[in-house]
Amino acid sequence: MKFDISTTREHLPDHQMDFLGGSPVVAHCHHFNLFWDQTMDDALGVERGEKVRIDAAHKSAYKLLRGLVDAFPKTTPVERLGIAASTFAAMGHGKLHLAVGRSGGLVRGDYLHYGFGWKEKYGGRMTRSAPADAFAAGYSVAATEVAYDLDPGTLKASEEKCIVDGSTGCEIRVSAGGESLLPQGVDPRSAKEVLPPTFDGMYEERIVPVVAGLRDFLGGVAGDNRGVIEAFGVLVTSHLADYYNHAASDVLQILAREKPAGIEAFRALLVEAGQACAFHTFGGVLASPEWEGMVGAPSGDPLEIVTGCIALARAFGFGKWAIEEFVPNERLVMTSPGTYETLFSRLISSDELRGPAGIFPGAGIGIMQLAHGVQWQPRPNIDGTLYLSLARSSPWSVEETSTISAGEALDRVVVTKR
Amino acid sequence: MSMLGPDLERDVGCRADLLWRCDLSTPGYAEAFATALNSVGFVTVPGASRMGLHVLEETSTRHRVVVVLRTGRVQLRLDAESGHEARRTEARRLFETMRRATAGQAAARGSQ
Repeated sequence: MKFDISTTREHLPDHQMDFLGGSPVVAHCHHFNLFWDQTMDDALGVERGEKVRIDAAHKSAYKLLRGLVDAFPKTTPVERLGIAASTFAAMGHGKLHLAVGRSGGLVRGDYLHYGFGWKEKYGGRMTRSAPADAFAAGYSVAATEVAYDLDPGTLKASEEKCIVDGSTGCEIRVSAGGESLLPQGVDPRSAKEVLPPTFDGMYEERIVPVVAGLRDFLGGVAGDNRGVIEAFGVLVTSHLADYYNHAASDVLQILAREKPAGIEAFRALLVEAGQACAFHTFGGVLASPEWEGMVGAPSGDPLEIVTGCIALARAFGFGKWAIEEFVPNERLVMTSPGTYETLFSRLISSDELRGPAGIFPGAGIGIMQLAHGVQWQPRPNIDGTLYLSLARSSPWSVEETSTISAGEALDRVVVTKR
Repeated sequence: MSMLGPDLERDVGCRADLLWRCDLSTPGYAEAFATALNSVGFVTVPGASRMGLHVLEETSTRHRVVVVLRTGRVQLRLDAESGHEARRTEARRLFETMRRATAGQAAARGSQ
């Protein structure tokens, strides 16, 4: 059986969204990924947060792997497990050794993105007892179920050893006794049905060529022989958008049932995650040798930073973000005919809760911080200290004035000075 | 005289001493610098030139050296498996290796 992952890719150019095996994928770095998982745990506590994250991975990975396996019919369970492991590595999540049968088994993980990223980022000054690789755990159980044609939720998984607690490697146990679950998610057909017509914004002549260059570069990037993608000075993953969205949606549903007063605080945390993404990921890329080689070192002109960030969002599959209005040091209005979050909310989330919507508004604040709060010349300093300093003294506030998740014609956020 | 300037400092980014920066004395040395590193065992990573870069890997450690062709910026990208306590020492060792590999070559090129 010849498995070529690239044959299952689909790009929606009008909406700058990417699909793999029929599931939406986005690029995110280890800073954001760790921040996102921490946000789930902050809302529910570590134990329940971990369960939500494993379930989100289980649901989203089941849908992905079902799509991939269906694209390569007549495969054996061993071949299917091979597809799962090679896809995981190609996406930059590390290496999985799936020693599993139809009733489960043990999975060894090497260089798993979350544990590896956490250890690299914090390992010199912190210890952690809770395992970090919920995504790998959920992915492993889904891989087993798809390999043996089991219903989703037949099995369950837990990470028994993780390098973040000092173990020499990661081990995930897949076993019987799972809970039934629905592997819903966004797919290209339903996306095309509900996404509104696309449109251009201001400064397209600056943005479009950079998107083309970035996509050309990213198209050739895949995990190395450890399943690690290192680019732009960060650890990069091609990640399942449904993973982030299921996790946040499930937290919202739990809060709605048990602690409705916490919903607004959680939504604020999601916006902060978007802010962190813009600062660390967009800021890190703008300061990277890759950007300097392709575009040139940022001069510090705020418009240059804003258009650069919009180009990055598009190239990473976040949606066709556009600039409706930009007044330096005063105001930024961003629009999009859908983002990977609002599309999920439109298709999957309940009407009452409307699902997650943090990346677009949060990035709006983060982009204005990068444009006006960072000294780009002679050299910027994109680090955690500056992030905290800018976040504490931020003069920016954001309002979501329109969203496709509520059936409106576009997503729009307005960032203004307080 | 080396093609590299004398300074090595932490580069921007949240990578806990994994990213270090130095600069070529002039961006025009970029090609010769890459060739000099090839001659002492660094392997060129293919595909980087379309981003305006040379990327070279010290295969025994997986540390990478990223050279920006248009500006002469050089980033040392220590492998993420490098122990926290060893990162500064490793960056310094790599820097000195590169300086030795290009020692004398800048003067030679200047006299051509």
